[in-house]
Amino acid sequence: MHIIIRNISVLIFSIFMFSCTQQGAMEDVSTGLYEKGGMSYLDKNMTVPAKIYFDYDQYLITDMAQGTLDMQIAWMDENPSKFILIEGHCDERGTREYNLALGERRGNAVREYLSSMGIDEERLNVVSYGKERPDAEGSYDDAWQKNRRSVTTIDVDR
Amino acid sequence: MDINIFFLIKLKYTKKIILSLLIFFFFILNVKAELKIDITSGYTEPTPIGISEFSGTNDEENEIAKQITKLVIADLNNSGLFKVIDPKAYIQKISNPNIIPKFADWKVINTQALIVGSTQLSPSGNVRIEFRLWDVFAEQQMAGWAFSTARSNWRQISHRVADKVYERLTGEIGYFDTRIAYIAESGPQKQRIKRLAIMDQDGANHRFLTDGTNLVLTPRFSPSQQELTYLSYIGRTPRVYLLDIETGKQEVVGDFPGMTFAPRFSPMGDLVIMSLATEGNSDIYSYNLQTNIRKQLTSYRGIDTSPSYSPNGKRIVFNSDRGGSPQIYVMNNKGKKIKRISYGKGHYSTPVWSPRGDYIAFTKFYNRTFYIGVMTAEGKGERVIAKGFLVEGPTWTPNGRIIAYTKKDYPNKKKEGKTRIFLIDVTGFHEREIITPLEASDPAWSPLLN
Repeated sequence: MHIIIRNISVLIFSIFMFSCTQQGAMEDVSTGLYEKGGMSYLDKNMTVPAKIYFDYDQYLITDMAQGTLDMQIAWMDENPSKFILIEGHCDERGTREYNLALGERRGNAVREYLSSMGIDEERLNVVSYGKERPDAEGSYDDAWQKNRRSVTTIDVDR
Repeated sequence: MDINIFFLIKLKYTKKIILSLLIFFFFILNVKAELKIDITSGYTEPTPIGISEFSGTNDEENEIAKQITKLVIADLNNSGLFKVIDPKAYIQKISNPNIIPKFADWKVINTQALIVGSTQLSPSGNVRIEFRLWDVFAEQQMAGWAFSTARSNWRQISHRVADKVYERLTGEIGYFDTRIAYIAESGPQKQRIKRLAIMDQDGANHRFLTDGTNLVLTPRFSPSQQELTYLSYIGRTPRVYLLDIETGKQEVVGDFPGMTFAPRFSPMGDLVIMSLATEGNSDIYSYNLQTNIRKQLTSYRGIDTSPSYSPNGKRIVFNSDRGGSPQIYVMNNKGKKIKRISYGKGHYSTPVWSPRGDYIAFTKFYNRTFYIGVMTAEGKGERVIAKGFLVEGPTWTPNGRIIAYTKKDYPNKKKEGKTRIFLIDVTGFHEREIITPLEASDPAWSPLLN
């Protein structure tokens, strides 16, 4: 009986956290992002990717990442009332505290780029999760690459 | 000694000299060196010892005596330095510490040292242990002690017995009467639930201190053992907190304009040292818990983190990438005289100063493998003592002889990739796991209880 109640509660909670759009994307209420096919987007139409990736032990914005950030900037210009929380993440191939610092460097690199391209600094905040919140499970290069990321999210607390 | 040689010599004076020498050597060879176990130089074969059950005079005393004896045996066996001989092999049954053992019976089964003790329960609810430590082959008493405490403290008193034996036989301070704080982990990797937890060093008296709602990381003990400092994600910004272990009361440390992390106490417990990250830069700060005054100790634009004080509080070892990659540096407690001490191949991080002051333990990453290593505070004599797919975050026992660390196996068909706490002697031998109810990481060994 307890198990049934618990399962129903989990189901209801999940539905509360996510809601479906017409294209079948799930909106994550905690980040304001639209999730489909393992990718996250800032917009309902799923044209603006929220994540960019970094090389190992690096916090520099690559050319590919810059392209994605430019799309994010356009979206932010079109949605001036939205506040942004930039997450910085690392893969597990580093120690815990150093990765907390590196995650903050990655989030900050994104913040600096967005700000340098005209987005008001007041709208931007950074949080580091170090290696604590991987996006891909598994201990191999592909998974690690997916975890070395920064995620631009909607700051739901502001 | 061949006395025939004596009769073959004809000269009178030479006979006397030779006789004197013979008598002299006879005495030298018959004085036994006192039993002493050297734990500093490489692998030591465990020393076989005997522990007679610490019996009492009635059923109740015998019951608690059984538990005490079991705990003492476990502590000494787990240290890796001793092998407690199976009681089934004991020839003599002895339970009175006040009578002299029949040493011949113990020599026959190669017992190097023998512990004989007794247990008494007083009407006031106390338990009293008396015991003697005998050097079997020298046939003499090494030491005798008596401890008394409230009955509910029986585990602590048993650890004290093991400490005394350990100290007397090795010359080193024991570490059995200590605790470990750590992070209990569960759930899928993408949604890991982490809780602060604490236990005796043998895994007993395990308690969760937080409920997993907020991500918690890297707990460290205060010198008084009454508090932990750690990182918690409560609200928007991850910050350093203090937790009172008894009351469970949490408070944030300082009011910093950004994420604070990597906290440790100073040796006197008056300061918390930590990193502050703002605008892509992490610097080390000290925070005075009494005056609330904070001091910035590093100012390099990059990553300065994982600070750890020397035992006398005069210097700080830390992790910095100011040289282009993560390496280990030492500075004085004012942030001056910064000197790099790691020079081997690879990335170095998580430096921790030994309570003895002699070594700094660290994590090294090289060629896709992690290592736990030690080097002197001058950066000399680097040795790796453990390695793995992922090993990190060393912490020292108070006697500076054993290191605990986080270890995660490579997940393949044979191993699930669980995260657990392991121990290893500073000599690099005797790696063993600490059993915890869930997966475990970020161990912190308490100072000695006084």
